[in-house]
Amino acid sequence: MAVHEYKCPCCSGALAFDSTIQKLKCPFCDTEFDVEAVKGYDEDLKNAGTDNLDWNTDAGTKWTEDEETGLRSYICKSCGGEIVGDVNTAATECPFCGNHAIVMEQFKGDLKPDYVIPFKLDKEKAKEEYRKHLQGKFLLPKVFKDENHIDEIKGIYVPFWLFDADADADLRYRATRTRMWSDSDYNYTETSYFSIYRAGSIGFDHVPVDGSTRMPNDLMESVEPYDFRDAVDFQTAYLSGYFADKYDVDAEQSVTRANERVKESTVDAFRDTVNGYATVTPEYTSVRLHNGKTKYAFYPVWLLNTTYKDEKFIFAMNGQTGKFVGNLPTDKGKFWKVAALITAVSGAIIYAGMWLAQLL
Amino acid sequence: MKRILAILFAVAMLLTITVLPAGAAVVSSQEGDFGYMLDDAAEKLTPAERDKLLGELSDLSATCKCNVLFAFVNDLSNAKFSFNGTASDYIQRYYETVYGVNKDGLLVLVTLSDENGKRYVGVFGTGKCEKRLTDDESLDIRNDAIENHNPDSNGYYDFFSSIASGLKKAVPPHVPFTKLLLAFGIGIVISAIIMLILKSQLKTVSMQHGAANYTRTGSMNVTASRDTYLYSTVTKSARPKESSSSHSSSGGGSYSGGGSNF
Repeated sequence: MAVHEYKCPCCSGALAFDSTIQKLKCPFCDTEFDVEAVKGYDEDLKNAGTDNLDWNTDAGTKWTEDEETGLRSYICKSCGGEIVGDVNTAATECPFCGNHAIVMEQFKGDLKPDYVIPFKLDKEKAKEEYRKHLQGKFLLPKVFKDENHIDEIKGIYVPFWLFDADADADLRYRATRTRMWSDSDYNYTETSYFSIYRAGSIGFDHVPVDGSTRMPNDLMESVEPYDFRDAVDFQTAYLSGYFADKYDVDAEQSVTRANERVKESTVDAFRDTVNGYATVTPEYTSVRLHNGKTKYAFYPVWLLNTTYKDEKFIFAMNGQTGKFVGNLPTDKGKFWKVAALITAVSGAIIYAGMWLAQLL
Repeated sequence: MKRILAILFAVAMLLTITVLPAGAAVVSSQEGDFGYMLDDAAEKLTPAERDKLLGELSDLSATCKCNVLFAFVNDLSNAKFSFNGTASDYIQRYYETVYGVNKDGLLVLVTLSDENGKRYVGVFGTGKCEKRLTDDESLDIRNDAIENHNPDSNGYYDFFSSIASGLKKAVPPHVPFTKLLLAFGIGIVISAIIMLILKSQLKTVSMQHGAANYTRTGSMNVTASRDTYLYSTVTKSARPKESSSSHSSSGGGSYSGGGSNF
């Protein structure tokens, strides 16, 4: 049979009823308790139940259809471990044995890339460029530099659509030239107005647009340009040791961005032929593309991740040219201190100059 | 012995007092680079008033870092220098005779009879004081003296003293509050430019503008290029004239300020 002892809440000594004060009193620490106060013990006893150690084993739910369609599992040929990837995974690494695995189904038929630019620079170069990227940045928090901890670094072949096109353009501008002269009473300004017309054509080759939703578009465009002269016909062997995803943004979806870039460059190229004017204002622009071709290629990118103050920072290096990009955090305290200092010093210098000018 | 001492005292007084126009109480002194002079040829000030005014002129000279000449004459005759007959030229040539042409200075003349027989007060600045004392400030000082310290009711000491006070407020080098705000406003702009440049070092990710790196070499072909002249317009704006603040004396000096009859 189980026994119960009223223990003092303060020192765990055994409480005894003190008839002189009509209260329970601890003989060790002299703390007194009303009988009502310890009544709660009896209530707890009533509610106490017996042990029950049965488990509910209905854990997890079934995959939804959408989730199932986004997942793929593969068996590692080295160790037999199951590699879980998504539907676009084309090359990956076994998490159990580190073996590099290429998913051949991702390159069947139309899915096979036309070209690949193999990696020219290795992981050590990526780390070195990352360290250089942090140098000379006055507003970068010192802690970020000192910690210098890279969570993950991986070489990825990113799927790109490459667009070739010829552009025909017609452009019209309104331009002005000015001439100034003076006599003893007046300053004169003569403004001459011109209508400028330019027409012609220009060609573009291998304009890249990234074909993966997992790669931020601005990051991928920032590591450009790629030199297509290093491109070779695609072979899966190039992917070994690296990660790769096949495209999940198709050519039709990518063409809008390609058109935008081609049009911008066409307009800029013809605008550069208008010289010798004080102002040039576009009035009419027409750009027409033809002979468009599309190719599918894998371009090399080193991706690095780091975390700072619970915020993820992602950096990318062009695996061919070594161009390194990635936004860095700002030391806000230093920013405002330096801004205030420059304001005070330059304001004081200008004020002193004004005062001296009065004296002179 | 007493006679020798008296002669020595007279010589000592003569060494400290310089007399230029005939006879009157003319007191001048030089302190550092600048001097001040009070010529009470009209003898309308008591000796005590002259001493007091001289102290104010000393203070004015030190504060404004310039020479000061206050002259009070009955009329424009008896000048020991040549001038063109006007009251303004009288005081300007008087100043040039004492201190030189275009030397930094403030000059005040009160004459009971100018070239038109009227009572006249003139307040002028020359050298660096030509820019610091504008025509409007000179006019304000004269008007304040005439309206609020009229010599007919308050005496000439009060009249001259109010002019000295007015000059002491208007002339010393100072930068108004609005210019202080402007200086720090420019400081903020400079700071913003520098901080934006420093911050831009941290941002290296952006979408590309165009595809210039992928232009096919030699593919650009301009098939039509026409620059057609349409028309012209001519606008004109008046050139700013020389500031009317500047007046010239017959001695070639340049002055700001002016005079009033009262």
